[in-house]
Amino acid sequence: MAERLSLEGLVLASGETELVHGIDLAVERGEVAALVGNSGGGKSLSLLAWLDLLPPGVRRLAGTIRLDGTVLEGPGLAGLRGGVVGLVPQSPTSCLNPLVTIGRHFCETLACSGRAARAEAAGRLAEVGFATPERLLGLYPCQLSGGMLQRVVIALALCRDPDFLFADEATTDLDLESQAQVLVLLERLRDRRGIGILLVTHDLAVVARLADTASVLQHGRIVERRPVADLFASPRAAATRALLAAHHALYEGGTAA
Amino acid sequence: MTGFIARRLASLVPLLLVVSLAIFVMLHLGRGDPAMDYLRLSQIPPTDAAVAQARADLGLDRPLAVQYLAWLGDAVRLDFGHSWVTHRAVLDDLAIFVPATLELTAAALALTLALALPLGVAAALARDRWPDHLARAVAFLGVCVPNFWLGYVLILVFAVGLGWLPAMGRGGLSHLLLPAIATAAMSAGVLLRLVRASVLGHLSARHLLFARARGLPRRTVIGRHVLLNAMLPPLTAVGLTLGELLGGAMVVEVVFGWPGVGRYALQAISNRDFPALQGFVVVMTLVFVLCNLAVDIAYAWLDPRLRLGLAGR
Amino acid sequence: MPLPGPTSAWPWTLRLGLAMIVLLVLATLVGPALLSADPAAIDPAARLQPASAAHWLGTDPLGRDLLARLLAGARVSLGAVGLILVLVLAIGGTAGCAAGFLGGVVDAVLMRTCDAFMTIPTLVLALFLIGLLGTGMTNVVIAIVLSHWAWYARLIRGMTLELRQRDYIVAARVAGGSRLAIVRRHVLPAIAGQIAVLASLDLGHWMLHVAGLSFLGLGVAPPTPEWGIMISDARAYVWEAPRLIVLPGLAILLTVMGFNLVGDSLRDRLDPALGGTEAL
Repeated sequence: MAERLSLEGLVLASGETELVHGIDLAVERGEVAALVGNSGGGKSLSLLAWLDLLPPGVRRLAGTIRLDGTVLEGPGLAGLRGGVVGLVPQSPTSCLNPLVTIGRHFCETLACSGRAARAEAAGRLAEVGFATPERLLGLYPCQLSGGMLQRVVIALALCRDPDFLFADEATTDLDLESQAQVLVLLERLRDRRGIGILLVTHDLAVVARLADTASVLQHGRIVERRPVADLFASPRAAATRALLAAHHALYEGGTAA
Repeated sequence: MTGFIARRLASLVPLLLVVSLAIFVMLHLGRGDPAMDYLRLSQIPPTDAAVAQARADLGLDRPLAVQYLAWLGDAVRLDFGHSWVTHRAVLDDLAIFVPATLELTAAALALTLALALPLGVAAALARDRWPDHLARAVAFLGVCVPNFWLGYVLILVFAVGLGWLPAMGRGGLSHLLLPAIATAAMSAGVLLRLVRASVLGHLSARHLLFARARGLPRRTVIGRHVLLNAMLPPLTAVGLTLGELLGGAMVVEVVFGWPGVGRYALQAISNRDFPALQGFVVVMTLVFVLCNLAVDIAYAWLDPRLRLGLAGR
Repeated sequence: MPLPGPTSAWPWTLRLGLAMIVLLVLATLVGPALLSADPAAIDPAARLQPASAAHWLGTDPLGRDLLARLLAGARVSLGAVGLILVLVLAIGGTAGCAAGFLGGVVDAVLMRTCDAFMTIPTLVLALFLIGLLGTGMTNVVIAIVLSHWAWYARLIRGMTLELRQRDYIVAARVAGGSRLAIVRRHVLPAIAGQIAVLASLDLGHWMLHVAGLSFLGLGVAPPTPEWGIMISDARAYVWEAPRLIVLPGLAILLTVMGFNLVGDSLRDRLDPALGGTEAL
């Protein structure tokens, strides 16, 4: 069982433009690390680079990825997908194939079929809080709400029992009730299974609730990395202070800006 | 699914009414005085009395609305009257010729799909490499080549030159191959381009990222999540392609001496045999509409969003 | 972010296609003057001759010069396609603008009519119309126009509807401009480019329709040369002189290629998102 997954000196570029300038990140078992920052800061790309899933046109110029000290490259990175790292991409509504039932999504991920697969899939769905999971298996993505889809996507990301979970804006598109459900779920995963979670978000409320440490990413650089309590108490970098001010303005009606 | 088919069938009624009205209006405005043609084909001298008699016999002296309703009533029962030339019921004549055309069209459709699907997919997956260039060149040629001329070139090469296949007539599979190729060339080209574009478009679909992130093998990602979804847009085009194929088949029939409805229509045109002509247009339109209905049902069967009436989600 | 190689405004496909069309038009205009042979001159003594200095592409069963007939035939085909283009745009444009701009009953009636015309397969409708009107190149043109106008009316209606919402058109209407003047001054110029591109894609298609219908013997009357009917006339000589069939067909093929090369390149320029469907 892997203990630590790390990324050092990641440099990403699109054409001649450098997007991410040498950042370090790490997740450990049983810990929740948050990566916060404004949109367009390179958060999602950094996650995808980790699994060698960069979109066409974006290249990794530098960066070492280690799993418990072993350096991984090309096929090794592809080998992380699913089994070692579960990825929950942005916007759950577009993560599932609209023409394929929920059940088949599980079958193909578990690489088995028939009754065994159905039972396994139902168990996984129950884990993310569905009361009657069997009913879900025959449904198509278009028949589910956004919150339900988000939980299905998480269940799918987790169904090969990965050691780490990367969640990209896992709560952004959801209504408040679904948000709360997802957060409880993530918390339980960490506590019961000891999964290491990397949370990418721009929502500081989520960070405060769940994360142990937080890294603030701005313009492709990590400007501050500290335990969450410290970060909220005494932000150092200007970007962190701006994020916090915006957060307080939004949630507490404060006037600090 | 039954509900979907029922809704789709119900929506055909107003459409077919409009089509029938359009055909009737064209028939009424376009044909001049059909009584004269009727007399000519019946070899009756066009005296005033004979013309008046013919007009009464053909019901041309009734008000237009009455004529339309009578015509529609007959058309619904597929009764187009008797050909002025063969003096047989038009439907009986069509029953001889239409199946041959449908056979050729179906063969051409099968060929179109057999060429366009694999080549289109191969082209997209090998974008900008030689299989792509080759497939696109073939598609371009298919779209540009006149089908009847291609028929002759095929006859020259495969029947006259190599002697592999028969040049003329209807018979077994060997008779079907050359005319089917000539008919299918254009549609195969069009569909190949559509399939290629569709697969390319779906290669960047967001759900593929998640499929790959779950560690699915490339085979599953391409096979299930790219190809299945990429087949939907070209499937819609197959409906339109069928119109092209039906038309193409009627021209190619003449090249290969294929006893189809094209030959019947040409006879009706040169004789100005209006009952035959209207039977031809109505029956061919019905065939086309029903084929499109089949395509729509296939589409709904593949796409749950349509089948469940949740379009737009 | 630099895009992968900005597409040239003049890709080779566009240049090649334009060159082919210009060459063809020049040949039909200048060719007959340079060529001494008369396309209609019958010479039984010189029937079915192979290519020679006197007859570059040989002669047909009546001893007529094949090259001269091909050039004369080009005039008929190109003229027909040009006429179809003008008429389809005129009818489709008028109907589309009227439906989109007037709305209400006019729109409903016009669109149902379009539905009807789009439900009957193109060639079936064309054959039906020729059956009613009689044969001849004029009627072939009318038949093709009537079987294609509805697609353009639909498209132009959609564009007009979209334009109606634009600020400057709303402003012109509020200012009390007459509907006709607004359509002429604002709507037509705005959609002309897109429509031109779509029409250029259909030129080759219409060319094939004209040739196909003439091949069926529905177009020009026999002595007039036209590519489709030339192929039909040569049917009996498939074995004896295949070039009589091969050459007119190549002429059609190359012309349609020229049109499609231009159309495809223009379309790709208009809508790079459709990039997957380039010509070559």
